[in-house]
Parts: sequence; structure tokens; C-alpha cells
Amino acid sequence: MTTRAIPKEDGRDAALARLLLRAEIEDFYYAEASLLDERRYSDWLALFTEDTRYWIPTRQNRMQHQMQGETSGEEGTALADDDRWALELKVRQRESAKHWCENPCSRTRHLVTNVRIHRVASDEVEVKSSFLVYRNRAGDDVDLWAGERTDTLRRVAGSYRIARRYILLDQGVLLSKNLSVFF
Amino acid sequence: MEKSDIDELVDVDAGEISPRIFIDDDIFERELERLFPRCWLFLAHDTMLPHVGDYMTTYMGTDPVVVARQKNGSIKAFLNFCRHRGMPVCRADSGNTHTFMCSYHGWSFNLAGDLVGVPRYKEGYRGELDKSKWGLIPVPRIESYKGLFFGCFDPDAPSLREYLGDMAWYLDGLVDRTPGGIEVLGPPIKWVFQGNWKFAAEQFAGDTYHLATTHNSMFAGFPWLSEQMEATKRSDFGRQFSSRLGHGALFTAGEPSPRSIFSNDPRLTEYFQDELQRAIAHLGRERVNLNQVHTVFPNFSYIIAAPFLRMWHPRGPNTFEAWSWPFVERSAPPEVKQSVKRSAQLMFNPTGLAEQDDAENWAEIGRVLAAGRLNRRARLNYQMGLGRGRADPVHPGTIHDTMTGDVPQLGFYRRWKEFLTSESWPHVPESELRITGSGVACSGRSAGEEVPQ
Repeated sequence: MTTRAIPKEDGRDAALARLLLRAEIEDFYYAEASLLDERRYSDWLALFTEDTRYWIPTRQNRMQHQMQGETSGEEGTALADDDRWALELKVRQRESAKHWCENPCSRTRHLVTNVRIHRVASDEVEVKSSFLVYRNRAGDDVDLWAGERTDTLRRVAGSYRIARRYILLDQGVLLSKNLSVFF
Repeated sequence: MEKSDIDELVDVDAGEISPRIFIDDDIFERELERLFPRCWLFLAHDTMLPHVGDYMTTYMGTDPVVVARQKNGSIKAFLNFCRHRGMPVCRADSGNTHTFMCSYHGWSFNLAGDLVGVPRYKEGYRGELDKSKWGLIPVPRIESYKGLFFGCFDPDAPSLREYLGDMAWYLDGLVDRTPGGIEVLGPPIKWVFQGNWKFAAEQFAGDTYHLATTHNSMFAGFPWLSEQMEATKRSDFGRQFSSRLGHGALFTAGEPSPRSIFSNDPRLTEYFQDELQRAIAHLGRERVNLNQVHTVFPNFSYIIAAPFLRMWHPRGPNTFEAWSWPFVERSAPPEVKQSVKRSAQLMFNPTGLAEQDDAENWAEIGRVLAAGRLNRRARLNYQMGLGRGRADPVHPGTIHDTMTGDVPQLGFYRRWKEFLTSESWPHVPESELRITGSGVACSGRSAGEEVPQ
């Protein structure tokens, strides 16, 4: 796979191409967010490639000169480190109607913003985006999670599939009872 | 609150417990005065702080403490509390240092907690401050059981080994299963939420009962797990262990079998077969079954099969913080370690197939107890297997002949009540402890218990 940076020339065509690409990816994200908020988990799962990785590293408070430990790496722990098989188990669980922390169902709203295209290759695009996810369950049970996703989106049959999703959640101690939501 | 009030809240003989022990401010204050400052509390495993100067912050009860690897290789711990104005001297979760400097006025303390630096010592204090009196407040007793470091503030507490008592025999299944021992992976995964810390501690002390209902939705992914769930109904499938000292466990019985695999990595099948043989050779056939869930009284738990360590840090009567560390066999190949770690995370993280639903239970109980008053007047039922514990020729402690019941949970609350109602360290009378042939102190039979034939 050849990788090239986003064209920097100021030509109108290049600018339009960048804009169209971003619009296309934003549309993809908005559609994806709808699938989650509408609880269409199987349809959501279908957006991931067979070789995907859905990874939420662990984060901690570190002194400034030892910041490399702020976010866990390959050898460290993770809040989630799922391949397609693991994601599928979680989706199947959600749809079992016996996953009691989601039955009754939560209400969620996924807001996706600050979409930045970092690299464009022949069949893949690396994109960063920010998210805010709201969840309400019984009574006043409300959670709010902010974070950043770094996605590798692969072009498949005229659309995109998520080949890698790396999620930086902006909490050290997770301030909720669980993460029964997907980001 | 009088002793008789607490006696009334926990009726071990009847198997009835008042929900007030999970929500009352008075009860929680008493735990902070009489339970956590007296008990041996888990601080760290040897492999969490491998280098001189490595430190981590944690809690003992609700008090923030710093744990640090010393120059001589030992472990020390202190209240994270500057003696000048009370500022935390360490505000990172982990790192490496030779000095903890308070970022308020600049007092600094070495790894051993000694006050070594005071700005304006000469001009301000005229050189008259006795630095030796103003070091960080140490955790006075730190002892290790095979690499697990525990701390204790009470000079009257027995040694860690005596405190563990019959639990040590089971704890060996965690730390001494194979010759190389374990490696604990970090950083810990932490999550904080509504609920009382004892919900989690008692569940890990022996609650097999909840699996079939709470975790019903995770069986779809693992057909062998559904079969095991059916098997837990058989009385010979597993046992509960209850310690007179408050510890508890559930474990499968019968022929040793390789561990459950929550992974799609084909390498693990062969690895776990080999690992089982190493464990049988090292630890013996009696305690290598991996489906074991344990609580070391009061708030340290682990699952050997999963595999992870847990601390349940109380943050208030109705808030607690769970910390989870996956662990692996130290000598395992790197790629196996990664797969084992992922399997623990897949099941027992806040994102996990199992753990998501546990937290829902604990938080929901916390929610209704916080809201209600009439519900606090009710009694909760802890009567499954009541009075059915017995002594066993192989397994130390009181044994219940099935995995499902309330025997260890009641043992946990019996001990909890002793701590809360005692003016001094609640030593268990010698007559209630006995020594088995293997030299392990364990609880004797009490009235009404069945005697094995």
C-alpha cells in the first residue's frame, strides 16, 4: 500500500477534493452514530472489517516528564482490545434480551465532531474525530464520555469499513459503572 | 451506634442481614474507624513496582497512600499527605522518582518518606525544625505473602500469615501455582460508581448463584460455559470455602482440567494443557482447578481462571472504586501473555461480557437504597446452605458441598461484625481455629455443622 500525505497544493480542485472526502467521511460517521443510537448493533458491526481492532487503552495521571505512561501501549492493559470475534460477542450479547445492564435499554446520543483527515492511501484513510456520548438509564442515571477516535477506514465496494479504531477516552478513573456503549 | 445495634443488623445464625449495612453513614464511619485501619489490606504485587523508585498511589480504606520501591528493594508505603499543610505529596497514579515534593510549599520527602528538603529552612525555621519528626506518616506494617504486599496500621494485628490463616492454602493457587509465579499487568483499570464495596467483596467470596441469571447473556458466545452452568447445579461440581477469619472462595471440584478459555487464540489450548501439568507437579492435584473466585477479607479479590486481581476501594457508604489488574504466568511466552490478558479484559473489564452486568446489579441496589427508607427496614435473605458447612480432610476451613450458597458470605459478615463491634483487635479464640495435618491453620467445626463420614 502506498501512503501519501494529503495534497497540499492550493488549487481549487485539490481543496474541493479534500472537502468532498471529509464530507463523505462525516456522512459515514453520522450514519454510524445513528445505528448505535437506534440500537441497530448488527448493522453497526457490519461496518467493521474482518481484521479490525477496536482498542481503548488505559489512561493514568502521570507527571509531565513521564507522560509516555499516560496511555497504555501494546504490552499494557486496555479498557477494551477487541477483534472482530470479540466485538461480535458483545453485539450478540446486546441482542440477547438478557443483557440486563441494557435491558431496559439505555438512551444514547453519539455526537461526532472535529473530523480531521490525517492520511490518505489508495484504499485507506486515517481519520481523527472527537466524540461526546451521552447515556441515560433508570432515573437520574446519566453518563457523559468525551474522547478521540483514530480510525483507519478502508474503502470497500464504494463505501467505508472500519479497519482499526483507537479510542482515547478522556477519563483516568472511569466515572461510570460500566461501558455498555460503543464509541 | 451501640454494639447491640450492629448485632441486630447481621444475624448470622438466622441468615438475615439488614440492608442498612450497605447504606448507613454510621456503619460506614465505623468501617473507617474499626475495619480498614485494623485489617491487612492489599497494596501491590511485587511485579507492579519492578525498579527502585517505582511508585504507585492507592487507597487504604478511603485514605490515599503512596507505595514505593526502596533502594534496598523493600516496599514502603505512606499516607499521601504532607505534614505541613496536608497536600498530597504525590499526584500521579504511578511513575518513578527519588523524591516526592509537595507542590504547595516545596517540602520534599525521599523514597523512605523522610523529610529531606524544607525551603527556607535556615531563614524561615532558623534551622530549628526537627525534620525527623515531620516525615510522611508510614504504613507501620508491610508484609508479603509470596509477592503480594499487604499493609496494616494496627500494631495489635497478628502477622499477615496468621491473618490469612486457612486462606493461604487457597491463595497459593494464585501466587504459587507454577514455579515462576505470576506477573501482574498494569496500569490497573479503574472505575467508580454507586454501590457499597461489600456487594462486590461478598460476591467474590462465593456467589456462584448469580451466574446463571446475571450472566445469562454471555453464554451464547461460549457453548462450554452453558454446559458448566448446568453442571454448577450438581452438588459434586464444586465447593464453597468459608474461613473463620472472614475469607471466602468458590471452586470446582473433581479431576483437574485445563482452564476455561475466553479467547479465539488457538495457542492457548496447548499452553493451558502444559500449564495444568506444571501446576499439578508444583502445587498438587487438590488446588489446581482454575474456576476459583476468592475474597481475602475484607476487600481483595481475584479470579484465577480469568485471570485478574481486584481491589474494592470504599469511597463512601454508597460509592466504591473497582481496580482490576490482569495477570499472567511470569514464564509464559510473550504472545501467550497478550492473549491471556485480552481474555481477562474481554470478560472482566467495565466493557466486559461479564462485568457490565455485575456493575448494573451493584449500582441498582445502591440506587434503590439511596432513594428509599422503607426498604432499609426489610431484611435480606442469606439462607442458602445455612448450617451446611463442614470440615473436610483435604480443604482447610469450613466447606460447603456445593458451589451455590451463602456459607462464605455469612462467614464474611460474621467477621465483619466482629471488627465493627470490638473495642480492640478482634482475635479469634484459639478454640475456634485448628491445625490440619498439612500445618495450615483453619477453622474448626462449630455447633450444628455436619461431620464428614
